[in-house]
Amino acid sequence: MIGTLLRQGHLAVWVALAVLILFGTLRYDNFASAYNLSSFLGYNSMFILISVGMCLVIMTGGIDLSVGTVAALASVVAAMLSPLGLAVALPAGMAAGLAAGALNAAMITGLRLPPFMATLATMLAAKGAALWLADNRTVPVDWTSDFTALGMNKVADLLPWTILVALVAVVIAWVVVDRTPLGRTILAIGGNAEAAHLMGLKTRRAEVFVYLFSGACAGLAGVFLASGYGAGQPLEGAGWELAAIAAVVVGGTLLTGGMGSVTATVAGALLFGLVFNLLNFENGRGTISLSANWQSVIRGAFLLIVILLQARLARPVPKT
Amino acid sequence: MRWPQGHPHDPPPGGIDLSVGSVMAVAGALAPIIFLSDWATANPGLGLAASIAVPLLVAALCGLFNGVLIALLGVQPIIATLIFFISGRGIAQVLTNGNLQTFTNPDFTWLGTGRLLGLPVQGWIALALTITIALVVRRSLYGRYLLSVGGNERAATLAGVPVARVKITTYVIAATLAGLAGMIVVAQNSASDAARIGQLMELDAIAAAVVGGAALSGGRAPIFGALLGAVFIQLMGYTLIANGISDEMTLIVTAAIIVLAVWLQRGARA
Amino acid sequence: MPDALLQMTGITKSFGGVPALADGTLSILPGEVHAIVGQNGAGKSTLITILTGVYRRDGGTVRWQGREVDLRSPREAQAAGIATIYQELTLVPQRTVIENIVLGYEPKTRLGMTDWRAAEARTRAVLGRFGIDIDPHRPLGSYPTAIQQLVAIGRAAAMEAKLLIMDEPTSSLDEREVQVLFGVIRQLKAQGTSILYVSHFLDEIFELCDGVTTLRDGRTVGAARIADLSRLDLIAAMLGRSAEDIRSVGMTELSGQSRAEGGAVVLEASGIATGRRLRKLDLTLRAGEIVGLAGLLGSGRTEAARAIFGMDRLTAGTVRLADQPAAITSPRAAIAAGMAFLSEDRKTEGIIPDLSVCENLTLALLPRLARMGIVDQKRERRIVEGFIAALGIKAAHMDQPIRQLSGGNQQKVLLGRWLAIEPRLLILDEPTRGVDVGAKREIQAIIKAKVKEGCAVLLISSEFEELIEGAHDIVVMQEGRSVTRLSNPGVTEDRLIHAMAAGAPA
Repeated sequence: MIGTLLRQGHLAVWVALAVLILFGTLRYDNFASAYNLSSFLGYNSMFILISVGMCLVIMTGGIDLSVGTVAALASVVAAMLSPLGLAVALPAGMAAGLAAGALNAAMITGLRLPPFMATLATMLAAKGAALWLADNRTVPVDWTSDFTALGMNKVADLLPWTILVALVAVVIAWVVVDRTPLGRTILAIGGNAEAAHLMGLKTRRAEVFVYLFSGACAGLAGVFLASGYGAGQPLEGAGWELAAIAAVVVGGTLLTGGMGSVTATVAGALLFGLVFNLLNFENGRGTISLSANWQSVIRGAFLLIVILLQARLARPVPKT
Repeated sequence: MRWPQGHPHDPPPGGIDLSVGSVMAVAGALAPIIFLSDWATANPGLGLAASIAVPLLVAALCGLFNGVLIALLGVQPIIATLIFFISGRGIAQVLTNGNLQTFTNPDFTWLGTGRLLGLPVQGWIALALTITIALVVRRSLYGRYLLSVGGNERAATLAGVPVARVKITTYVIAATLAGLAGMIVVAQNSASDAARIGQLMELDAIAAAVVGGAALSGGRAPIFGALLGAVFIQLMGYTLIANGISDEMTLIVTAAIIVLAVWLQRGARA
Repeated sequence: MPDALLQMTGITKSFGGVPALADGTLSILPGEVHAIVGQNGAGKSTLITILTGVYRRDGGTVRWQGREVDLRSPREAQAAGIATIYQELTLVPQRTVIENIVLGYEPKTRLGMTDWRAAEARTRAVLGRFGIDIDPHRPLGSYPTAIQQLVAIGRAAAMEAKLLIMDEPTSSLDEREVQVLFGVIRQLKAQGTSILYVSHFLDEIFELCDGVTTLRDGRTVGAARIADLSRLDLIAAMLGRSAEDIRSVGMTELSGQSRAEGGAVVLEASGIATGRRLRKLDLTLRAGEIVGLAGLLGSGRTEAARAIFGMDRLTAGTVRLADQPAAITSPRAAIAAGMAFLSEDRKTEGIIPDLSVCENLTLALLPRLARMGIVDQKRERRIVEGFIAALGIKAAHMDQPIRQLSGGNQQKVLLGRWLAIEPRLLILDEPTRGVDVGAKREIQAIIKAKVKEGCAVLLISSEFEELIEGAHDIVVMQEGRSVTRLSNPGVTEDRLIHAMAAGAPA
């Protein structure tokens, strides 16, 4: 069992997460503080969301490059509608994400375009749409409505609302993958798309679902962005898709599809967030000073280490 | 017996390089650092040569790194090149401390703004490289090997094709060309901004290759098609902007053209 | 005569204006095992893909259980009770055995969730029926092909299919596994399930089937009870020739070889091993000689070829090639030393589908066609023209993508790829598998001619006729070891089978 976990990289990511948390707790005074925990979770709830959406897409052997700009588009939509309150702006932002997801699904299952190209097109189009709607500016939200409550409020001063919403999405994804025929179909498509079709599985429905789900997650992440940072940001989200892919990969999901874990993906997303968080603390101690520029270098190096570890762990086991 | 083939989700055997934009930034940041150094000001000739050669070499090393990860360690291309995509720009920013470097060096800026026989030098460079690469792919041993590795790697290995060498060479070439492109951008602007050089360039490059008809799954590579694709996308962008169509609409039109191009190719191949 | 379970009449189908099926007729009775035979391109696969709902027919009628039907997708066909076991396994290797059995037909709890306990019970019941004892929680891909094949059949049985289509189900099974499979088929038949059995192996058809339908050039040319036919009748019907014709020339083109005496030793492998599948092989090969490598599947034949060709690292023993002191550690080195290896897996280890006939044919020769890294295309095309003529390759032109050629012609191009380097040693792994009877004979004739020129050939084949008629000597392998070497003339099918099974010549 442990051997299987190791091979799939699941255990490795949890162990790495635990080690980093332990390291941070021992080294920095305020690391384990309620303030750090809640701001960490608040910031990373967006990445958890899009990573989980991406995880489902990648399980089918597909990819969704559009999540970053779709989130930006949704943030603009939500910010523009923020005067009408959260009850309107949140569904509207998600609807923008769902629309992008529907577009992806239509191109991929209808026109049979490769997911890489289809979602690349949506990525460009969503950016264009976001800039057009926002008139090339950031769109401030209406602070007098209840819109910002989503991004600012916390339960018991500790858990941001956003992380709870993200958690709901994680649970949905987990239940779907582990407990429903739809989830098995998703994994079967990634394992062998032709076989899944010939087995009579409803492959098209499953593909439509994953792109819609990913789009909805991206839309929701955009609403978080607008609500938590007070503005719809049409230029935000660049590179989010790759951060999400990195989180999925670190979580041990194979990019070729057919295998993967929703929970390990969440761990992967948290792991990346944690590296940032620790770097900030290290800077705060003043012993070394790493500019923001170094952070991406270190993140890349981190990805490299994980990939090298996985290349060793995931080496195919000889058949017995 | 043959059964229907070609589901779009078969993992593409061809590679992809997401790191080109970042490599552009690294090379583009490096060149001014070298020719603005005290040593280069003292030896202008050598300094200029070094400011072109060293960034190209560094870019080639980035490609070597990608190639080794992919060919020798078996990391998927999209993941391996993701590393430089994430960190390459950071490296460039560390090199320049995140500052915008401006300069006046007519010899160097000639790369980006000079003209030869009435045409921009960079146009000549692009044309010359395109012809060279098209000839290499069509006529050379390496080119044929490249297509066979893209088409069926296992079969190529069995037929004696040095697969790892071919792959590494390819990533080195891609990165070196990206490095050159980065230097041209810097020369054109007489300024180097590590945060912006080559940003999202990898997507433009992929789009150009697709519009030009490179089969995305590898195995076929119409080089002139890719050049035409690049020219087409650029021209269309300029035309739309010149006609008062905004940047953002241009993005949407580009997206539509990519979809159309890929869809047409699917039809042609089916 | 009971009512037919399935009656397909006058089925037509064209692809892009090219008719693949002109008049396909097929009738299957309830509870019978029915074979369908024909050369490649005869229309077998088209007829079956129409039946399974993958393709739509252009014309003709399909009656299923007495009613006219129109099956528009694999799912509709399965819902009607038609299940298919494809030659290339179409299950999901990463997922567990249970998932592969129930995918698409999962038992559900009241909440609409998958009921994994019921799924496991169903899986265990099916596996138990066939006497397969495996852990259903492990990924399917961790089991051997034979088990995967049986799981695929188990899936069909669990769906309670009325007609089970099997496409070359034994192509990757060894003799014992084939018997297990046949047992399962007979069991299904006894329960009233009809089987449509597609196979190139006529032995199997005569052992297993009740009726047979023969296709040629897109038409059904005969349907008969097996009991009324001889093998020769069936081959004659497939080829469209008379039985007398065939009797006079022998069954394969390899027959009537005379050995070139005293040829120099080309290859000497002593005690080579690469792991569990290849433990100890001794083999000597002389110029102008065909040595066959016989053994059940899994006896290490292909592994032996891979080891000699430098694809797998030796863990013991040595391979010595005449005038070649250095050890061969890669296919590239093997080719440079004058070896060629035609893999049994044409699709994944042979063709480069999008490249042309010409580019595929010269791939191994390419370094010798290049000067300063540039390919001499004039010379290349001249050489390819020569091979197209000599091997009788049927292609529109040499720039046609190889994926558009038939299996037999693809195989000839690949054979050309290896003949072009003028090898001293030609390793052929199932060179005629999956190609039609006509192309098979042509390929055998080419091999024979090459041997006459002094080439040494190592021939791996599952077809006894090919080995017995073709090889001068046959090295028999068992469980990764070479156990005996039989010399022609004097090898009979009985002796060979006995050697493969028991390890001692009768």
